[in-house]
Amino acid sequence: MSKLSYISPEGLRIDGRRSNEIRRLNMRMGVLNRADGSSYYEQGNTKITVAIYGPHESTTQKSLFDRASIKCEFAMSSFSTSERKVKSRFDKTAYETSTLIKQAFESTVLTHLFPRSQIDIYVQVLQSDGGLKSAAINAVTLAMIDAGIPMRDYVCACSATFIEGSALMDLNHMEERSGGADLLLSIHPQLGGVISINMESKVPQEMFESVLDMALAGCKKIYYLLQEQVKKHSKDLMSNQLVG
Amino acid sequence: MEAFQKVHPLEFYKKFLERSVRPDGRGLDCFRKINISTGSIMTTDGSSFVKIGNTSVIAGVKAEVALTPTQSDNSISSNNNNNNNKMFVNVEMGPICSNIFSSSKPSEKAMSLCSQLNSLVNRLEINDKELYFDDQGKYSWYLYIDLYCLDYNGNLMDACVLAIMSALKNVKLPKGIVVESSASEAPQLFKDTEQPMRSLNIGTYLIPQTFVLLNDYLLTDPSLEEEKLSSGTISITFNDRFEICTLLYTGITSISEKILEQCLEKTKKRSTEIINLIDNCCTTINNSNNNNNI
Repeated sequence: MSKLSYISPEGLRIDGRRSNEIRRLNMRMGVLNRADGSSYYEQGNTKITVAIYGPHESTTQKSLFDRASIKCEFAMSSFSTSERKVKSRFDKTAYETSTLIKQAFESTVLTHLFPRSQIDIYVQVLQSDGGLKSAAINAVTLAMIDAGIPMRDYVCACSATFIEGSALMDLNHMEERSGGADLLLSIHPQLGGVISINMESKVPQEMFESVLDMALAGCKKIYYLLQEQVKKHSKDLMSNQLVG
Repeated sequence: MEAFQKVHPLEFYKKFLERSVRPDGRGLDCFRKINISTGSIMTTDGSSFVKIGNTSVIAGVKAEVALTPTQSDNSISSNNNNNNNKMFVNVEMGPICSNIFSSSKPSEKAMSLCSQLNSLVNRLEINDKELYFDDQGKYSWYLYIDLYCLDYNGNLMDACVLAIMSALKNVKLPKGIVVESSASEAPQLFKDTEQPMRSLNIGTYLIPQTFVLLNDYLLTDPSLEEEKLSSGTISITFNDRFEICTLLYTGITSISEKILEQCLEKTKKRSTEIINLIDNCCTTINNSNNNNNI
């Protein structure tokens, strides 16, 4: 059986992208009616929908006296992966992703404006093709903006790796499984700070720097597109208000 | 006005119902706009997204192969015997659709809807032979239909039934080849990629309609506020031969036969509309950018 080559001799990846191209983004804000803020986010074949409820009265005793508490739940639909996976109650990867998103937004949302209240984030993955954590973070950013919750900055996330001698950004499922250095970077693009950086692999330092640069470039590209979408959505809302 | 709605919701509604209209402008017998789009989720074998007004449900069908259970002569077969089921429905109503639901404990509504839909799906008259994996029928396809409610604004039952129907119509199964190997090893199952994928031949259509009783007025397709204020809910599902597949009434008041007959008549009247809706959504060519209805 021939070995699968992640990068063809012409420099194209499995899905025809170059090493420094992200997948096609398709975004909508305000898609769910009952939620205070919602978004639908597609990055290539990964499709995610997010609903945000809040800030509202804290339902648990864990309310903080001086700021809002953020609760996040990340759920994958049973049909989102190629093998049907029934959602189990104690799914560690789901908890890990939930915590990642919660921490990213605890540092970004101006929680001191809403003491003793709670902001709930619910992420539902409809189709999964790699880059789930980064897509979820980007989707939650859009939903937060739709909900009108004040934030310091956008949170943009991108994944990157190093396979067959070159750094690649925005991995799909096959590239994630390749066993390279799977790096997940999330940043504040305008303020310029790193929110989280996760990598579970062994890499030499020079390789790491090129992967990090690639991820940073990916985040900036995604930020540009998110900003375009927010402007477009706001323009639509304003024109609806003026007409109606 | 909004204060009046919050403080005296029933009085607020009465003022509209007296003039045979509802606060969102619909007549008492009018449905909200129904949008169905199929085939958006590519990891499934069939999928659909149904939106009735703002109530949104997404359905995904996954097919798995297993041995066909052999019919023993002594088994008592009845319509309620669920041992030979080849289709399983699961409904998830998580907190994403409404903050009244919790994620860890499935709500009563989800569980009861799940069991109602499981029995309903067997009324679709899908021949056993349709679900055979290979020609002899030694192995069969088992379909797992997962429904996720993304937005809850009343009338979930109708949305789920339409989602199941359109998702099943969207299912494409490959032809299967069974290769028997040596006696000690299990036979290997392959998908025949040379042959085109086949759709399921579904014998009938399911036409659902839900009514709600509010102050002696009969309202079709209740929204969430109407469901909360109602004193009873009637859910009817017909098949295309006007046989009753599901008839459910729950409520705190009793209803007369006349009201039940009215409901049955109204459901029958909408049957052609619903059948056309389901047919139209499945014949449109689905391109990759299919999520405009979301």
